[in-house]
Amino acid sequence: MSGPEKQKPDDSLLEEFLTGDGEVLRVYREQARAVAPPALDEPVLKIARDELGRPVIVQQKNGWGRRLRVPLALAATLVLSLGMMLGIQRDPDARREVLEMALSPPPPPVAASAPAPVALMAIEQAPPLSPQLEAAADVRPEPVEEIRTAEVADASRKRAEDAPAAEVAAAPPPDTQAGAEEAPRLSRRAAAPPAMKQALKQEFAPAPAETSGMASAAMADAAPPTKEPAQAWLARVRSLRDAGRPEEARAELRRFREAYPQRVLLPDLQALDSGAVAPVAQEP
Amino acid sequence: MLSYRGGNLAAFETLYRRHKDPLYRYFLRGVGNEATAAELFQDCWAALVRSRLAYEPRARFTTWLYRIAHSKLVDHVRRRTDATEPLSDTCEPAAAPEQGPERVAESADTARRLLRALAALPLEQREAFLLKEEGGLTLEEIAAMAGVGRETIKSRLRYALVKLRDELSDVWP
Repeated sequence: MSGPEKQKPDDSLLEEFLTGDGEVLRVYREQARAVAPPALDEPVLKIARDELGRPVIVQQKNGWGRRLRVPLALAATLVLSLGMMLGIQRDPDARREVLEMALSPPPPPVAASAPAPVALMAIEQAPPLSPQLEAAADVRPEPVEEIRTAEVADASRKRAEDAPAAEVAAAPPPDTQAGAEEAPRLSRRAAAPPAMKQALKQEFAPAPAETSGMASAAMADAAPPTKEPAQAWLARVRSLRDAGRPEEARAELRRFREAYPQRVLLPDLQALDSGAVAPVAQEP
Repeated sequence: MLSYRGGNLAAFETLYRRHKDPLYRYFLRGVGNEATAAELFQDCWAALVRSRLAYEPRARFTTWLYRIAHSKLVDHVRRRTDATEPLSDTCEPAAAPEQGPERVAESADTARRLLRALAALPLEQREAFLLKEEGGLTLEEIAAMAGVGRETIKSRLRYALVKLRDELSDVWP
């Protein structure tokens, strides 16, 4: 059949193919049928047999529990934080103590995706403090990530004492009505108690990748980053063998076996491993 | 698969024997090399076996199997500079036993040319063909696996079939 070089794809060809008809499929099915070599059967069945004999670490299969894990953790954190907030509101000494802790150098920041600790919002929503303490709290122009030492934090406070008016003017005043919106800025200005921060970090850490059958299956047999992938390694072994370098091929195969002790070798490599093979490609 | 997950090896063997040939052909036509196809074949089954506890019958078993196979094939092709190698002579296509010697030779030649044309297709087109023909997947399943739309898969198949047909245009008037 002749036609222009770039003819429009033929929809009838596709329709035939999708219904299992057409010359292409006829030739492919009748003439080009390869079957899996029988030598592959036993290695695969052995893997399946060995897998049944392995100790099983039961993963939580209950999707119900997994779906509720994060909401339950959020609820628990909220209850805990509300309890602390109420305690802080009732006790002026505790309020002052929390503020002092907030002014101290913060620990390394939590992951960006983690929500701001609810306790910080509790501080923001507390009744107004004395003007001096308020001014000191507002003086935090540097982001938390840059504050590494107590000396730097102390220097900030000293600057605040020396020029409180200018720096307070630069920093926006706290807004009790916008506690949620201010949460990211609050996380830069203050630090939650370390214990709570650690607990929150654990609760809101990125969830492990969904272990759907597909995702985990694709990765189940992946080699660790430091090891060459198995197929590529074995291809290299075969290349050495075929190039008439059997000793190097065997040495590589030995290293491969150490790296992948569970791997079942195909018959051609078993022969190489046992020393029974001669180089496939002989030098002229 | 659920039965195998529960510890029934015979159930796995049934699945294996049912799917092994199409899966092997998927890899063989995908990479064009018997040894590599055999390794990928083994890797694919190993990955499936080791994820048995994660298996849930939300999709067909075939879909799950070929999703693993797809990832193995794509990973392998990405690592290689040349996607396919010429098929060896041991891949002689089978001919119907009742054909005479001339017909057998002619059929074998046609099949070889078809397979070479298939191997020369871009990976996306070749794989769409193989997933449909060997895997028996629907267009929607293939599209989901490839991360593209259904119409894109149809387009890939159209182009693939046109190229395969054109390669043998002297045989098929």
